[in-house]
Amino acid sequence: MSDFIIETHQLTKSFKGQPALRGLDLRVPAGSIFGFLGRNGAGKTTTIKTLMGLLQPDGGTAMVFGMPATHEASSIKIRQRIGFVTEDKELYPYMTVEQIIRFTRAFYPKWRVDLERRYLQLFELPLKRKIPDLSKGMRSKLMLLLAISRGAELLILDEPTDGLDPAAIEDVLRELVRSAASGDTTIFFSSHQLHEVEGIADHIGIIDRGKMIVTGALDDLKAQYQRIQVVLGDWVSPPEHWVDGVEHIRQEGRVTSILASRNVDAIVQQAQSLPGATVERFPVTLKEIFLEHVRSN
Amino acid sequence: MWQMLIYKSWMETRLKLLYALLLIGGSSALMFSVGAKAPRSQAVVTAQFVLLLLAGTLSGSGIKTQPAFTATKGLHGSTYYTLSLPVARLLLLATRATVGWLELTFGLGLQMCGLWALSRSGVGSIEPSGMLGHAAVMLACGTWLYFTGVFMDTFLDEQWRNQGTLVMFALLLWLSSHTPDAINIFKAMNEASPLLGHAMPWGAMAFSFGMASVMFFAAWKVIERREY
Repeated sequence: MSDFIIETHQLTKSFKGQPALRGLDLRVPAGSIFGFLGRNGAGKTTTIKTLMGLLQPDGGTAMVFGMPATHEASSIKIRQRIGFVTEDKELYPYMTVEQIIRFTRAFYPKWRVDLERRYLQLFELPLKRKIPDLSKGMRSKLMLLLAISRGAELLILDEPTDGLDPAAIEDVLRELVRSAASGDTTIFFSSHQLHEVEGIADHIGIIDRGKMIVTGALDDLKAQYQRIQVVLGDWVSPPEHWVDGVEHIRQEGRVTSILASRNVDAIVQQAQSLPGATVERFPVTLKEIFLEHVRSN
Repeated sequence: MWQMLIYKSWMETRLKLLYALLLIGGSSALMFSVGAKAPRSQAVVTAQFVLLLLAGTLSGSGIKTQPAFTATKGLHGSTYYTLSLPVARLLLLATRATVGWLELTFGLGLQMCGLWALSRSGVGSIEPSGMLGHAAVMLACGTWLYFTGVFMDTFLDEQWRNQGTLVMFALLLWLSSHTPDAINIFKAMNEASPLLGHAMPWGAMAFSFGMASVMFFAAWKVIERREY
């Protein structure tokens, strides 16, 4: 089997002529915590729904555990090994917490009663309460319990911390890391909270307008990307052409701020060759990488 | 696994069944109040009307989460939860359709008991064989109507499901006026009913089961291909 738990190749999908995915190439390494980032409408939920077998792509391939997600028979086998948290965190309104746990448990032979008990206690979920009477935060926690207790090899989480208070976010993120660290679980999650992703993800993918624009190990990306700040001498103009690798330039008076994705040393050398220039280089945050790419795409 | 799907279907339909039973109770009480003056044909027409409502109310395709009280526009978010379970869509459909059909059978059974009690109180004596025959005809012919409701549920928004299904029933009723008597289910349940002394309408019953199978197959094909 491939080293990638999820692998899509040139995935395309349109809705009423509007393209949602335009040749998406996504690779999620086994055992990773993969943060899937993108603006609203970038194609994150469409990707997740395709992986879950809820949508049929117009073209390309989508493989999960080496099986096609687009065929019902293999999709059932895939879903047997997946824990899923939906974007809106809705569950059956006529069931109580206890009933939905009992209901879900029946579909998963590898159900982890120990984890169920642990999360019931940790998240303080009231067993007898009806689902509509739970707060959104409580519902998020319940969905997480239902996803993790399945003994799943892959957790697909669509905005798992949406609606949670800061303390609950901490709890959830810690448990996700714990879940990934304790076994063979791969976590694939979408989020708008870049600092959360930066805190727990070891791989990221940024999708924009249905295409993957940046992907890789987070540490590699942060090492690869640097911000170079050049303060130019009086009467000196910045060069019209920079060395290849400059992603974005911002000019404010005598200060030129450059985001570089490669050839950082060569760019620094070029900047230093300018008369009277002082050059500094800084590490960048995930937020900077994200914003620069989606704005320039 | 399927026990839990039955459990889910029951949770979704139990209040609908309760409404249906109240409706049956109400219609039976009405017939009792009319008492001896009520002609047998009137009882048959009432039973047919109740059957249409039962078939429309209790039907469901097992994919969408159906609310007990108020229907809202669009899919309930928990539909995605159902679809994320490692279960074939056909099993979801078959389980929900079976549970609804059993409830329909139960409702019809109660209604027939009401009719029987009514007959003892003055509508006029009904032969047990005629009563049983009428019950069988109602169930057989109601099965087509029920599975029409199942089919409609696969693509109609929950908000419009009941109205859409009733419109479909009205269309079937209109079409029946152009249908040969031998396969006319409305006639079989009404003026050609064994309750009114006619022979069993085997042709209409067989035709109804055939059409119910077609409806189930069509419902399966819709949900198999449908995107959510």
